[in-house]
Amino acid sequence: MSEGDLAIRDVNLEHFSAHAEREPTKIVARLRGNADQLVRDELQRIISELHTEATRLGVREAVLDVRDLYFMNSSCLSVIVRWITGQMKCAIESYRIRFTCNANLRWQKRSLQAMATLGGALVVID
Amino acid sequence: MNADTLLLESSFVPDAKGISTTRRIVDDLSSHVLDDPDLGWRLAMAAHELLDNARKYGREGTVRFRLKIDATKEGYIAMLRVENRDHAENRANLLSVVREIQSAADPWALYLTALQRTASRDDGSGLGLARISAEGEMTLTVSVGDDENIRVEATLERGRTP
Repeated sequence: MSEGDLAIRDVNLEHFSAHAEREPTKIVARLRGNADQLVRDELQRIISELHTEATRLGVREAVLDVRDLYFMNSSCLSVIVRWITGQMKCAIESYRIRFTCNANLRWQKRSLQAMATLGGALVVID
Repeated sequence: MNADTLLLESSFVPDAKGISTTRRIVDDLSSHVLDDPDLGWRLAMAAHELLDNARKYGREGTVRFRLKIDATKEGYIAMLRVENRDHAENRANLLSVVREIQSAADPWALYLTALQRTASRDDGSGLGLARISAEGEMTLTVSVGDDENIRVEATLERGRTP
């Protein structure tokens, strides 16, 4: 695989989709729809591939754009938590995790506040 | 809210689609009735998490779901109840989790502890009830009915805006 290729497979389900793109210093994964129990395994895969690619390419940030994600249940939140805590345990300084939010979606304010508290300087909320 | 009480009850098998549909109904209905989208979201999130738990840990398929909003002199009391048959080992764990939440001086501190714990869990996230307490700012109770069904209730109270 060349450095320009991004090995993060899209998700296109009835009520959830995900697509990732590489930008100069970051990888942006856009999540849309409803993240519930039905998509937990797909979300886990996306996050795992995002981590692998962010590490391989040495980007500064991995961005989750959740502006069109209307809900996330606690099972899917736990996937994000494992990602954050896994990065916190890394001995080598790696990439930051950034969330791009939608202030009109109320779940994001409280749930992502919890992620930011958990992750400290590793996590940035826009 | 023009009426004194709003009551929504249903019995259904809580698959993922049914849970998300119920969450949206609770959000729309309670946001409208309480004229407060934030309260509507908190109730909707709690409905989703309680029904998810019933789906994961229930012994039989059907759950009874109830949303009740009562107008009071001071404001409103909104209560969600999910009732179902469960396994004995799950019941002991549920009682233990609810006791821990009820005795927590700071629900957010407990939620952060639950977030850290979930990183090392293989079975479920263990986050749902702590999320209801912290993000939803709701009170949790659990009881066993005469029919041996387990009932989990999440309640929030709001005073009237001056």
